Amino acid sequence: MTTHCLILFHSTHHALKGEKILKAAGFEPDAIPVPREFSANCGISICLAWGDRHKAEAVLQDKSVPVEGFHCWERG
Amino acid sequence: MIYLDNASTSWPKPEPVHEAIDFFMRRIGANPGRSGHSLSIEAGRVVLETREAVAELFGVSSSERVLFTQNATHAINLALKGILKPGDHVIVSSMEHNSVMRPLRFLEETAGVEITIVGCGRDGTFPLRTFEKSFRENTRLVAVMHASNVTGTLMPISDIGKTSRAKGALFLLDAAQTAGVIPIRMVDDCIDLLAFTGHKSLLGPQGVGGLCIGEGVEMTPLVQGGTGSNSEFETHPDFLPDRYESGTMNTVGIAGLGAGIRYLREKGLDRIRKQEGLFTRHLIEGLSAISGVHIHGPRDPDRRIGVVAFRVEGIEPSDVGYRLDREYGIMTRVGLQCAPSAHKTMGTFPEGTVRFSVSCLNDEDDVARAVQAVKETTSHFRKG
Repeated sequence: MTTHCLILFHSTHHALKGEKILKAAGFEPDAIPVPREFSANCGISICLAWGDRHKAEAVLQDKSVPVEGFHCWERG
Repeated sequence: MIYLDNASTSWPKPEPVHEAIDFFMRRIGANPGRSGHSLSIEAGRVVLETREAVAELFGVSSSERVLFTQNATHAINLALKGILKPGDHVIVSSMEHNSVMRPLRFLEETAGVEITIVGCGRDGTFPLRTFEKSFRENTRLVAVMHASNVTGTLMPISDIGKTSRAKGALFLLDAAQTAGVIPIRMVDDCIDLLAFTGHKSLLGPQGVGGLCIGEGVEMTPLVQGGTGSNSEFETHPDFLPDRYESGTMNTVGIAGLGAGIRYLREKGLDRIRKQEGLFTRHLIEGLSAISGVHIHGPRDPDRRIGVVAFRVEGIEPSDVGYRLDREYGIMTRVGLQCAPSAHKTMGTFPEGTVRFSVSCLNDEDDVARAVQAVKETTSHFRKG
């Protein structure tokens, strides 16, 4: 199990926009279906290294991408 | 065969548009936003890329404010029915297409919306002074086309936008005929709502269009339903773009539209405008030289787009169009072009006109052959 940062979004548009922006900023985002233990407005979430969460949040905020929440996720 | 009916729908399409559609159908095909699997995500990326391309092209403040629809008519219906309430007043030009006139007449009848039609000149010229005097206390919206689909006349949209804003009304621009040829900047031109279609000068396939909405614009959605978001609730989501996009979208069409916009970007709107301007100039000069041919709209190609409507004295437009098609393989649009009010303004109602309309994929030879064909057709009927 590794600890990851899971970002949830309201809409698919914002999830995929977030993915594109994070990729361009040098992160390695993984667009994945929202894991069962989370409840989100849209079905796609972004998984990132746990250590990247603060920087990623700043980038998404800077680019005005609305986020539903940042969560800690133990990925098997 | 010479295709000069690009104001109805552009044809042919650039090769990258075919490739994008083929690639989507063969390699992606899934429903964006409905599942979390790789193909669904990939389909979502295709939609995102096109949405961002549209936002960049029109200077939309954020790509979530680009809403995909079936076409410009659908977009205009969404805007008019989503904004206008009983007792609201709306101002339009007399050159408007039925895509604006018909939903407005419906709203007039069913919701008591008041309509002022600003009479344009016979060449389609928009009268700014009359327009400025048409505002009332309850004027909620101004809906004007960017260029006439009959005379090609360009409307002074920047002035219309600024006046509307100063008077506290929203400005809806119908860019069906100009998106992809004339630069449009939503913010600079004070456009609150911009309706476009994907299958004309944006060079995409039929069945995709959109409405771009400015900051602060609030509308009631036209349709509610599945969005792939908020699925646990039976109430419709209130966030963009999902609020206005229910049901599976035309993703393959959106893929093609994205490729069309990328093609335009590479070619450059300035170059396309120059090229189409040259075709227009040559059509006007060539047709004017034929005895008995009357051209509608401004003579100056800078004041119009590549749409040239004409009549041949004593000959029905339908007869001219039929002969151009069958004898010369030249595709035109004859009749009223879905714009009866425009033809009343021009004095060509109810017979209409023959309309040539060019695209950046025509060439000089198409124009020269079309002019020659009109010349021969005219003498054919004269002899007959």
